[in-house]
Amino acid sequence: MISVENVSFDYVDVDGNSKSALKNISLEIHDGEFFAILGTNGSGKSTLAKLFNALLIPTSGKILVDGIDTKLEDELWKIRQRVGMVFQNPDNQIIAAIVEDDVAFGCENLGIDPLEIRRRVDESLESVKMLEFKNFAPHKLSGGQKQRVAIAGVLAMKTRAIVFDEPTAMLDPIGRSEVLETIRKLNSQGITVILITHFMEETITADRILILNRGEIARIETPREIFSDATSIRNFGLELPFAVEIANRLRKKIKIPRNILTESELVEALKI
Amino acid sequence: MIELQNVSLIYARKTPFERRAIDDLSLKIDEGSFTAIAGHTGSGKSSLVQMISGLIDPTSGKIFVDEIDLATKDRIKARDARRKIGMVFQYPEHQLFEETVELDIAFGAKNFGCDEVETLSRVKESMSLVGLDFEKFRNLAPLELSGGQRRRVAIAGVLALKPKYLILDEPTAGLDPSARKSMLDEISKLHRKKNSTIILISHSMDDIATLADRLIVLSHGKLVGDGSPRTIFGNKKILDQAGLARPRISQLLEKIGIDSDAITIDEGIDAILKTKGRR
Repeated sequence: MISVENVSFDYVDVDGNSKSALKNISLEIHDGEFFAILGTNGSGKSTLAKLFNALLIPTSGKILVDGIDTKLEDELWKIRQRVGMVFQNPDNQIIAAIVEDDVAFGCENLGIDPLEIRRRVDESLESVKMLEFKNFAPHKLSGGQKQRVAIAGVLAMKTRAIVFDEPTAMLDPIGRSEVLETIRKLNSQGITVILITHFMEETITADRILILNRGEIARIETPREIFSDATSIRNFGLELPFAVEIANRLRKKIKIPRNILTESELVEALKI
Repeated sequence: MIELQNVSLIYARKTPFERRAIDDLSLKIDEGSFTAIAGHTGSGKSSLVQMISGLIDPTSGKIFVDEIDLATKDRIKARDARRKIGMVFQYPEHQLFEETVELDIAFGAKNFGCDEVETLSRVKESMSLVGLDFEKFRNLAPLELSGGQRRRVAIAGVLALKPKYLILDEPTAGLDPSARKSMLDEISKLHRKKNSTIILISHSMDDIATLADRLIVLSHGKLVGDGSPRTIFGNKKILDQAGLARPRISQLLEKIGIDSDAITIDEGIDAILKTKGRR
C-alpha cells in the first residue's frame, strides 16, 4: 500500500548546514499490516512518518501510496484521503468546540455530502467508543478520550492507513490502554496501522517492526525476531519488553523456553 | 520539612464550574526523603505540587516550608521559603529560550543574585549532576540537542538554584528508553549522593517501586493512601479506590501463582527462583 524507494531526507539546521535525517530508506508497507517503528529520539522516525502522507517530500527517492507519488501536488488530497495521521499531543489536533464538529472537520474539507458526513461521524465515534460524548466540549475530555476523538476524525475520512506518531506518550496508563486497544481493533478491521512509539510493549502484537538508527534502517523483522537479540536492542538505545527481560534474567538460573515474547507465554512457562 | 495543614484548593469558586481540586489535605514531607505522588489524571497531583512550590495559593489551609508559612506577609521570608523548592514541570524543555546551554542553565541562578563566579560554578555542578559534559555542551544551542539532552538542560537550570526540595512532574514522559533510564538513574543519584529531598509525580508504578521510600496516593483531590510503596501496593482497597495498578512484576507473580510481596524486578526474580528451586 505504501512503498518507499531509496528515500533520503535532508534538512537545514540552525547554523544553516544541511543535515541528513534519513538515508536511503527502502521498504514496503502492506495493506492491512500493523507496522511498528522504533528508534531513539533523533533516529528519523517522525520524519519518516511525515513522508508517508506528504507532510514532507523526500529530498531524493520517492514514496508511492497506492501507486501515487507523494511528490505530485495535484494528488495531495488523494494521498491524505488514503493515509491519515494522529500526533502525540491531543491538544494540538483538536480544533472545534464540540466533539462531533471536530470529527466532521476533515470530511467537510473533502466536500462530502452532509448526510453522508452525519453517518460517518456517528460511525467513527462509535468505533472509538466515544459516541456518547459527541456533544461534549473537547477540553472536558481526558487525554485518552481526546486522542480517540482525533482518531475518529481520521476514520471519518475513510483513510485506509493511519500513521500514529507516539499517540500514547502524553497519556496516563488508562488513557494509553484505551488508545492502544482502539488501534488494535481498527487494525483487526483491516486498517493499515503504522505505529511509532517508545513503548516496546505496544509493538509486540505488530506484524513487523522497523528499527531506525541514525536515519538508517537497522532492522525490519517480526517482534519475536527483533526482541530475541537483546544485545542489539540495547545498542540501538531501546529496551526489551517486560516479559522478555524477565525471561532472559531467569534463563541464567533456570530452564525457560526460548523465544518468549508475551507475558502470557511467560506465565505459562512458570505456572505452578 | 514541608507541612500542609488542611489545605483545600477550589477552582472557579462560586461559579457553576466550581471544582474542588484538593480537598482538606494534611501531610508532612521530611528532609532527605524520596516521596512519590500517584493518582489519576485530574486527581490533584499537579495542583498539589504547584501549591507547594508557591505558584498557586490554597483556597484554605496553610503550607509551611521549614516552618515558614508560604502566605506570610513578610515578603523576604516568603521568598526565601519559596526558593527552597525547585520545580521541574512536565516537558520542561519547552521552556528553554536562551541561545546556549550555559546561558539557559545560568539564567535562574543569576536572577537569584549569584555573581559570575558562583553562577559558573553552579552551572558546572548542575551539568555534571545531570550527566552533561560542561565543555562539550556549554556553547551548543538547546535546539541542537536531542529531546533527552534538552530535558536535562532544563533540569540543570532548576538544580543551579540549589533547591532544598526538588519536585519533578513526570520527568520521563516522552523520552526514549535509554534517555528514560539515564534520567531515572540521575534522579536516584541526586537523592543518594546529594541527599536531596525528592518529590516525584509518576504514572509508572514500576519506577515508584524502585525509587521512592514513600508513596502518597490521591483520588479526587483527597489523600487516600500514604505509606511505603510496599504497604500501598499490598493494599488492594487503596489501589482500587485510586484506580492504580500494582507494579508489573507484582502482577506477574500473582498470575504465576507465587505469593510474594515483591515490588521490584530484583525481588521478583528472587521470588520466582526460590519457588522454582524448591520444587
